[in-house]
Amino acid sequence: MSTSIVPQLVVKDLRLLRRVILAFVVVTLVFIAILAAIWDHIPVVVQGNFGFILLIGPAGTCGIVMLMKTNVFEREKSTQAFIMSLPVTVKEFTRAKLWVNLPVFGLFWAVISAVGFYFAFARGLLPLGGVPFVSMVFLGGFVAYTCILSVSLLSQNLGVTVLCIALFEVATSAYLWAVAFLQPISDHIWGAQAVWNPTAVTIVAAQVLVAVSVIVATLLVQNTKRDFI
Amino acid sequence: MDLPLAIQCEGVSKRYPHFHLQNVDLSFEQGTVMGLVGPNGAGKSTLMRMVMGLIGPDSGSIRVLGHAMPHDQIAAKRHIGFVAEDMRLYESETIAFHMDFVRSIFDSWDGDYAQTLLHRLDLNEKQKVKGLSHGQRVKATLVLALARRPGLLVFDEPTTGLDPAVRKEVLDEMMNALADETRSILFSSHNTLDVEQISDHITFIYGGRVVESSNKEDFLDGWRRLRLTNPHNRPLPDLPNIKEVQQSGQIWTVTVNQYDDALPAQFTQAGLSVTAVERLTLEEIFLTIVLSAKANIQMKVAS
Amino acid sequence: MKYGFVFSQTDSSPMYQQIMEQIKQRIAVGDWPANADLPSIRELAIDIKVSVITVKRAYLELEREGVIVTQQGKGSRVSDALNMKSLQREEMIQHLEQAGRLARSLGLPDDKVMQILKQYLE
Repeated sequence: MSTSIVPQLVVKDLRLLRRVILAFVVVTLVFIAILAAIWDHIPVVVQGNFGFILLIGPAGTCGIVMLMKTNVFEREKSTQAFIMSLPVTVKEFTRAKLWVNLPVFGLFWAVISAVGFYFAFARGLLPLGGVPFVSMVFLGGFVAYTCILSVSLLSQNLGVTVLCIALFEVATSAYLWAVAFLQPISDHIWGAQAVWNPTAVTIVAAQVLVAVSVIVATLLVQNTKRDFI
Repeated sequence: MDLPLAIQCEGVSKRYPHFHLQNVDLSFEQGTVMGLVGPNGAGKSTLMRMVMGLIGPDSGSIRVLGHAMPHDQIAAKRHIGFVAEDMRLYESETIAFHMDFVRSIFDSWDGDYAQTLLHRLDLNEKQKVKGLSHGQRVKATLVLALARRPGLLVFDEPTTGLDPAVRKEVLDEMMNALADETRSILFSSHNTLDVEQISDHITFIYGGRVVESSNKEDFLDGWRRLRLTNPHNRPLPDLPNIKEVQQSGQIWTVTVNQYDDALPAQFTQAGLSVTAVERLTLEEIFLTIVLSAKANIQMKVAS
Repeated sequence: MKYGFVFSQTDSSPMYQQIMEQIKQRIAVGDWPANADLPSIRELAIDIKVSVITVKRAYLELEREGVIVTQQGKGSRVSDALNMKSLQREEMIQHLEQAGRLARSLGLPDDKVMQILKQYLE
């Protein structure tokens, strides 16, 4: 009788996002094609920058637009009362939002990470020694995203979420700079072989741990909310 | 009848920084209509949101169709249709999008009834929510709430901001929904005419407290206005149920509640003569309650 | 609007009395003959968009006045022992009673009251 309506909520949000997702898929594919076309004709010094902007730009924007539309606007545009009047709890509402955002963004991120690795290492931008660091860059982006996603769900507030986006953008850059200057990492970035020393493994493991615990913590905090409107 | 009550609130309290809902008792049986009346900020919306499980009370208990709220809200909300004046639908989508969505959740969705409602309310399901007027928007949420045939309808200010024609359409559909004998309605309105017309019970809320809660006929019967002449300027009898006194020369007008037929004699014995005893509309009762509550507060402040 | 009840918002009498009036009218003109079934309380309430409790009260008062007969589980019907003339007469007496009381409180002399009444009899 009281079967969960999380699947229906997920389908509803995906339908709401269909135009956004489609647009960003097209943009990402076009940008990948552009990158492939110009890669060999631009100076090596700007290859990294171009790649970064053309790949991470649309994927990141897509993730932000999705969480804004599904999480923040639900409250800001007063559709939340409609959704919460359905047979659903705050816990299920939160689970549904995670099931919409994480897989779609995760897929985007996996694709651009793969494409990024291809250009960085198969098209001669970096030697293989950079593999651990580039992994940290893409994983770091994902961690920042999970934090923003969490804040957007917990606050459902436009201002707070925007502030958080700005903050995590700066923080992630700073963090990656710091990692890049860590001796056990920096020593091997330009090496011919990928070196997974304890420092590199610890950093990657910590990133995964942070992403997972942010999601779990969000669910736990949402479960304790008594007033949700 | 072992049918659980439609709604049963006992000692419900909720404290906010600038507002305190205190010790609210409210209940009514299935198959009836409860109208919540009170000025803006009296606590009507807060109470309705607690009934929906959207807000948890600090203390007290709430049962909806026998389900404890907010704990059993999933089971309860399967049988509740909620409409609120400030509730919005997805602007970029059509009415049909929302109907598909609600149908995917409720087995009880009645497609034929939905079509009948759309037709009766002059709605086009292919129209996007963005282009709807306020009245059309309210009617669309009404269709979404009614077509799943819930046992309880919870409507927060459904007629606010509607023109008389749309208001009538909404009230008519609320009454039509009562053809099912166990269906119940809890609704709030500042429009006292709406409440007077379709409610079986009335609960009056003021400043976070229930001032009066009873069946509508008793509620309206209990309030009377006595027109008196007082040629010798005698004092009024000391009665606790006198709520308002107005005086102009020898003509006095006294408003009372808990009226009974023996009351005029008490004024006659005090040396006043009763020229007329009149009933009050809900609107007049509303104003009397609010004015006498304000006067009480001012007296407290003064003393 | 199957039963075609029309109410007046400028009529100051309470809704249950207006419903009683409309039912009495239908009986008086013969649209609802003796022994005819009345709509169920809920059915009439939904038709005229007035709360169930108000219609219930109108039925109870009509039953008390002997205008209708209600049998448990069978609904209500128009009384066959009903004398419409006497019903209307009773109503007129009620109005006069009220008028008399008001005249007394206004301190009008009896002959003045009679004079006014005569005006309306012409």
